[in-house]
Amino acid sequence: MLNNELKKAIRELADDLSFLPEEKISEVITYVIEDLLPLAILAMKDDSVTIDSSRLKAVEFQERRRWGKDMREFEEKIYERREILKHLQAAKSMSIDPKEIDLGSQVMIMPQRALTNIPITKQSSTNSELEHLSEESLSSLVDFGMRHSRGGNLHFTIDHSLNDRMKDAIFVKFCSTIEKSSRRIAMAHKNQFNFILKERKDVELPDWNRTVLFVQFPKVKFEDGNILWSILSNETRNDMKNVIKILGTEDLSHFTDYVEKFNVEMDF
Amino acid sequence: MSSSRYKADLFLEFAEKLILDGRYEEKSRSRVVVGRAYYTAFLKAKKRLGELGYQLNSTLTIHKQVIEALTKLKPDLGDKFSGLFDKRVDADYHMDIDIRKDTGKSSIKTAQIIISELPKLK
Repeated sequence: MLNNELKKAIRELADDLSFLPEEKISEVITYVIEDLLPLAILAMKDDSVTIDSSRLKAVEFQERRRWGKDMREFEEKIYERREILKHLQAAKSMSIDPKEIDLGSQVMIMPQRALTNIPITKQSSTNSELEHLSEESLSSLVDFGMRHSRGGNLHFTIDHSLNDRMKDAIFVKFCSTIEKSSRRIAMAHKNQFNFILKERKDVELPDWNRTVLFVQFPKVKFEDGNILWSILSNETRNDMKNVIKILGTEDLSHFTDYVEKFNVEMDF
Repeated sequence: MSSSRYKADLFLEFAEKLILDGRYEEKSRSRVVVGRAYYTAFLKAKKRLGELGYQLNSTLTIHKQVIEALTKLKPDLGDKFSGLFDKRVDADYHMDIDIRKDTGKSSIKTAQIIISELPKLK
């Protein structure tokens, strides 16, 4: 699944990529893989991430015998594999945007308390050790916000206020569109960008809530920031229009609802 | 009656003077300035939308209506207005948020930009 989707995404991006320097092309392809990998994980069958403890130990025993004196190096590999299994399990058992699961060095945990809690559907497992590890991982993921490091000048954070809505696949698509627009604009600039996607509720109208892309960039003049603000506003909407063109009728109205309650805001 | 009608622009003129007035404590004057800048933009936007045929009668939802109408007509203008609206909410309701002179000044500039764009709306 990942392979085919990756080829398709690169074909679609080919024209845009041709204008970028080589190092930027590899960065963009890395981002595409980061976007697709979580979807591939979600598509995995449950039994492929739920490994029986005794079977895992037996495999590791055989491997230890084979590795002999390079044992220390191999123990690290075993540890890494168990970590990956732990994160895969967490990703599969949480009904949130799987992009928020720490699958590598690109993702950092930011010390920020959750505003809302994600309902967790626990996965049954015959492996008590993995289940324990999974619980530890879940608590850290639920209690803290995630900050995605997307290259030198860009941080994109999905605030915990959006956790509940992240269970909705259309909303995830909506957020992904915003992230892609943000990333593209940030890549064209040298400034430091900090994007926070969050829910903004009104104090007087509790039923009125908007999704706000809150943008911070230090060391920028108001006039320059204002121009960038307009670019971000228009580019995100243009990208949303492109997504709308390919959506089916039912998803279209759902997606449009989110678009109509979306704003880009700058922090000067 | 019309000669005594208060002009919304005066809010912004007052805000421009107040933000520079060192007699008042910085955080207090900055919060007041954000509010005055927003209300100038709001009153001007409401008037312009009325001219364009929008029915903005509900006191309860009027700020929401203006944000949604501006965002639909010109998304970047709607975003600037909603940004100013949220700053004003922070200034008036959220005492834990640090609002200083820079925020006051940027709110005045944002309001000026919004006001200058309103006549172009169709």
